Amino acid sequence: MVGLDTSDDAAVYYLNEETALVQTVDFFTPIVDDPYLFGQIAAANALSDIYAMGAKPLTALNIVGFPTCSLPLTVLEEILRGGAEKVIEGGAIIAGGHTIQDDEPKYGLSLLGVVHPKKIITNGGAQVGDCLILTKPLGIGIIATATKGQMASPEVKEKAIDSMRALNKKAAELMQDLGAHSCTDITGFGLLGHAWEMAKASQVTLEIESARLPVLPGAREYANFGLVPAGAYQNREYLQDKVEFQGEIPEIEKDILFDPQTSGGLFIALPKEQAEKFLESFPQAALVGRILAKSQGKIIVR
Amino acid sequence: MGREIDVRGIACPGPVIETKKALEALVVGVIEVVVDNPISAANVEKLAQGLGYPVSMEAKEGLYRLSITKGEPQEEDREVKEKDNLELALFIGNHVIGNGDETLGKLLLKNFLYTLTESQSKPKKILLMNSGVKIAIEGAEALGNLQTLESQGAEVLVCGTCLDYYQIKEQLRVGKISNMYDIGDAMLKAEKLISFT
Repeated sequence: MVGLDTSDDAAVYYLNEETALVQTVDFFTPIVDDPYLFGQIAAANALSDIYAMGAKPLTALNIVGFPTCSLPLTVLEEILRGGAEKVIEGGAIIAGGHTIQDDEPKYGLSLLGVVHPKKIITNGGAQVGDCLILTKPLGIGIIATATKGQMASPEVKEKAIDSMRALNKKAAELMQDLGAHSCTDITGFGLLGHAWEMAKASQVTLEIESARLPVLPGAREYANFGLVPAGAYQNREYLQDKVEFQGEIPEIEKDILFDPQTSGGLFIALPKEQAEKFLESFPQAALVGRILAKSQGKIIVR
Repeated sequence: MGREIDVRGIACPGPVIETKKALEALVVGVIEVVVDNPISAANVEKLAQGLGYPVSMEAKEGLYRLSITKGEPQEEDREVKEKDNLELALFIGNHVIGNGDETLGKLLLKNFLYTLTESQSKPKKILLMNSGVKIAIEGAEALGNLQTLESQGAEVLVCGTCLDYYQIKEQLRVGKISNMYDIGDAMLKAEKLISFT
């Protein structure tokens, strides 16, 4: 039902009138030093693709690369413990997995979820007049770069980690209850990259208001110091003819708009009344824009 | 002659960190930075601009040579600054303005912050202490305006002890959790300080 052509978050297979299967896989190298937190973040990130489709996760398989010669096994145990806790919090179970010998640790999960075939939420359903909601603050990539350069303060790191390991479960359930039209989760292509996927798949022009963006503390300061990850420049280059900036948008705000996220929030299109209800029940989310018109796919930032 | 730092082959964010260290070590002068990729070049340029140092860049055969000048501020710049653009810090030690009805006090504070978002002279720092921290949390009336000011470049420092005391740390939605040392430092270094207590 959903395949490769629309760059959606997961593959969807129609099983019967009641059930569609949602399948996804995601894994990466450590982005934090603490193995337990890394496990939690990797699992929250993998689960997010299921949530972004409006589905419920059922089973998970661990995917592990680990250097058994250079790191003690307790590190691996901690990674898996963090991952398992998040999978359970997400309402799923770990059904197995596979580990290979690798030069550096890698961890992630393949997930299977279910959704009613009529309640699948893809990135292609946004409608003119919809409001756009973002459920987590931006700036993860910039803070990760500052962390690599040992310039991030402990408070900033802690907030970023808490954001990355938070599940998108509640936001997903809420958008399903409110009948959201479209959703995707924000990861490596940054807010604008994933917004572009929605704009293109839905054939609409989408407007983002830069002054409304939720941003992690520290991110603007570090961006101002040039701690902007390579991914943000790649996203900027890829999107240059797809995004129109209106008025004076400061460079720092652009860095944040293009900043690649790990385990970012859900980006949801839904009618205005439902958006207001969403924000009442989920106040950490922010209204960041709206769908302006039908088109071939375009983004306006003002 | 200026110093040259060659950061070719160093992965991001190494070039920025090395440049920052070199600039910190230098009192006055010029630093030439050589990098071998456009991303590091753009980031080093951002660093210099962020610190307010003039920077020029030359790209040739895949190499980028940046020249950053750290110097005394120009006399002209200083005069302009004195007239229009003193670095303003705003100390807010209360969740209302003035004494009297609480609802009115909150509304006044919200409106005052809104006025600042529209004004030419923006605060560089906003310092929240005691019940002033309550304007930065979930559901606070003034929160939106405070977030706007932050997005316009104000650094919002929120007293961590106060957040703990009122047990509202989890609800903080704007600014950076800070301490007496940094808030005190910001007040002492401000060129102009406005305070609401």
